[in-house]
Amino acid sequence: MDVRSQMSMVFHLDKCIGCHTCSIACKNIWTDRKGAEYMWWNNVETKPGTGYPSKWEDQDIYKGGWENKNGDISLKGAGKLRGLMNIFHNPHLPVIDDYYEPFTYKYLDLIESPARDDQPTARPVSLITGKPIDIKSGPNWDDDLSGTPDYARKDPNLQNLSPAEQEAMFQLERMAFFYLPRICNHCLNPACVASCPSGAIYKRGEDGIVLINQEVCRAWRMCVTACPYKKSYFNWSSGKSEKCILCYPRIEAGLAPACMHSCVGRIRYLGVVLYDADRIHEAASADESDLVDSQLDIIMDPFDPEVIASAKKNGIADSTIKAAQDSPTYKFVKVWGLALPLHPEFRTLPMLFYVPPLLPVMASLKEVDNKAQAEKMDPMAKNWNDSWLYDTSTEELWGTIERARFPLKYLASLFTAGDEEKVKHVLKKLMAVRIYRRGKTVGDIDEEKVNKVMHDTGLTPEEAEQIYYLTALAKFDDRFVIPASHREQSIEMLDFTGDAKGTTGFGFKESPVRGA
Amino acid sequence: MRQSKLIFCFVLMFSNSSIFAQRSPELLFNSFCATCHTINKGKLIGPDLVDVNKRRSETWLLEFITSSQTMISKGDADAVALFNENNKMIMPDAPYSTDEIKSILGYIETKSPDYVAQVGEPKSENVNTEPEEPIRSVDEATESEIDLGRMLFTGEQRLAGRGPACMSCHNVKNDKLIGGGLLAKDLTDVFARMNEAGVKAIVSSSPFPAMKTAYQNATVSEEEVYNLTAFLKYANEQQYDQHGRDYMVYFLWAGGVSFVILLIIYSLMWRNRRRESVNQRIYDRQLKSAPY
Repeated sequence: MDVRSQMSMVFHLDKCIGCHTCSIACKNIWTDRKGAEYMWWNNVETKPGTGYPSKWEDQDIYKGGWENKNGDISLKGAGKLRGLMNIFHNPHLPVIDDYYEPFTYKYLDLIESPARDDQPTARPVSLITGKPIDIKSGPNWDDDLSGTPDYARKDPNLQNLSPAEQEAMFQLERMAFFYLPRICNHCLNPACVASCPSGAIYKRGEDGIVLINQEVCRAWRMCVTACPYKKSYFNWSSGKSEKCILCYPRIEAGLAPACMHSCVGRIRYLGVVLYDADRIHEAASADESDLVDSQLDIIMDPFDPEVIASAKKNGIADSTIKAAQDSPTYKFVKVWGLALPLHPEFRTLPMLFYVPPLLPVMASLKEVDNKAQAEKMDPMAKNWNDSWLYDTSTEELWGTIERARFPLKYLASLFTAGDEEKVKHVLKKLMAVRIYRRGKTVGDIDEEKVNKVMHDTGLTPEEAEQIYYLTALAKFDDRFVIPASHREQSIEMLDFTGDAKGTTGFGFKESPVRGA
Repeated sequence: MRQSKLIFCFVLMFSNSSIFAQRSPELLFNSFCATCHTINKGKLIGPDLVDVNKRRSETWLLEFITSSQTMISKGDADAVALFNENNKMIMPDAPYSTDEIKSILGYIETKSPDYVAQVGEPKSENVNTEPEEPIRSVDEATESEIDLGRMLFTGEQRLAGRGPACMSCHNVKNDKLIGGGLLAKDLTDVFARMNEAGVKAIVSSSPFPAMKTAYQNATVSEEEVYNLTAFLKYANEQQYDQHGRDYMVYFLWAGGVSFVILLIIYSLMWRNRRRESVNQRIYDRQLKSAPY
């Protein structure tokens, strides 16, 4: 056993309102620079949709991630031989139009334009060429299913659905969508690290954050191809690749990353998980049907004395082990089994987990007689003379999940490599918590039904309460359990801190050296 | 201690300056002209300069020594005749001032037989009075010496003084060599043009500016000069039996053919490359505003 610690995230999709505050927080801090304008280390996509960059999930186009050949994994598009052959011309790279051409407006024209008969306008100009452009796309161009025929219907996850199922998804009355916020997954088996010909990308030992050394990067861009989530971006101005750094300077100071700190829906959770590094290769090479289980399997129990002993042997601090025990990620992923990795079939063992959305699944549409309801309404009120009911009732247990207007196949394609049962199981648990709480607070569900629900999903009332607490009430310190990073210890390995003590703000630009 | 060092430096400084203030005409002659010319010792590469000031006027000599090629290109009849007489060997421009050239001419005059008869042998500044060793002719060169010369020429064997290999700039038509440089003259028949003494003189201390600079810090030992000269003699003798090859056209063809082959390989290798952005069709449709 080789236990290491990993900063791991959970995004609760039921709570995401698609406001893009996370994206803006990230952009303001990290990517509001020349050459980085088009990068969104954090972005929010509407699902179904093609995402950003367009169709990033379709590895027939981009050749990202790993593939399993005879029980052993190799990089799909950027391995040693293929990487070398394509090193001077990488044929699978996304082009700028796959992202979007970043633009601004010539606002100064509004002020400086001479007086004419017409109002002056601010023309859009490209931030790459500086020339006027027609804006053709943006990082969230297909937000809320806008431009649906062009974008949402081209979602690669729809490939597994029959044409009838697809058609049903886009009927106006049945249409449903949810948001998928994405950052770098800081994978356990990162394809970007494996693909880098310069060895510039590394996974930090202390917390597993994947970083690109800007001084070593030589612009081969193999990581851009290799990352199946397309979360490594090439800065055309600096000639280096960049990616999400999980705000490690903030984490080292005990602060939550900017995207998580600013999250309006409080959907994001951050905590340490302990994993067994010896079994990474084994877990990543597992059969497609076992992938999720084998990935969750190498996440170790932080209360197990054996695990703690191995962690200590690897130099993991007590504070980090304590943080792993309090970790919301560990609870969501392992204890409750509510969170699933995004596209486990890419075999990178992503360390960002998603609680799948229940809302688009839960409600069903029924044909009912709305006359009684209409009569109750004020005569001034606008009354639609229709006979549909958006039914979120819990009359029929699990019925809405079985006959969800949002196909489970679609969610399974996102989170479980096609295993519908696994998604269904998670959704049932989420629903059970709702029914349990409804029985408790509203009281319109009888105890027998509540007990049956709990029994079906194997949840205890305590667990349901805990899930409810961490989902709905959790405070800042519950959502982000960040251990001290002990930078002082790593500095002490290189320098004597006494030499620098109390000298902040004093000194020379170039330190004087005696005898020179 | 420090004081004595300082004094030593001063002494050195002044003694040096006095040396360089006026270079003796003999030194000037030996370091440049003597490579190709003798005074009263017969023709080397250029003509014997004995009594040259009686043959030509001083103004003509000055002009010719300063830049013979300018004179020839201007069409001075005497200069052109002289040039043709001497196998069209270009005489490099003397890197000396007019006064220095005049002093050299004065030195040549003192060496003329008439002058010597009148005044007697001028005192030589050359301290080395040892009797000269009999020079071994390259006709006696052994095969291994010729071979060593070839290796020195190609650079397989580095020159002891760490000077550049001859082949960097010169070509010799010989089957044992791949084509050499085209920066300087082809040396295949240089032995015939310049004879043994000339070749040896130029190899050991070249009057040509480019070669002089290249070997500024690198002396070529006497043995190396001998081997190289032996090789050049051999090359000269063998030149008609060699299958000289002009690689230029072959290279051009090879380049063209391999370019086409590379294009074919690349187009096969990347036949599945992405040719357009994923969104291209969407953009095309939107920009054309065509109905969906």
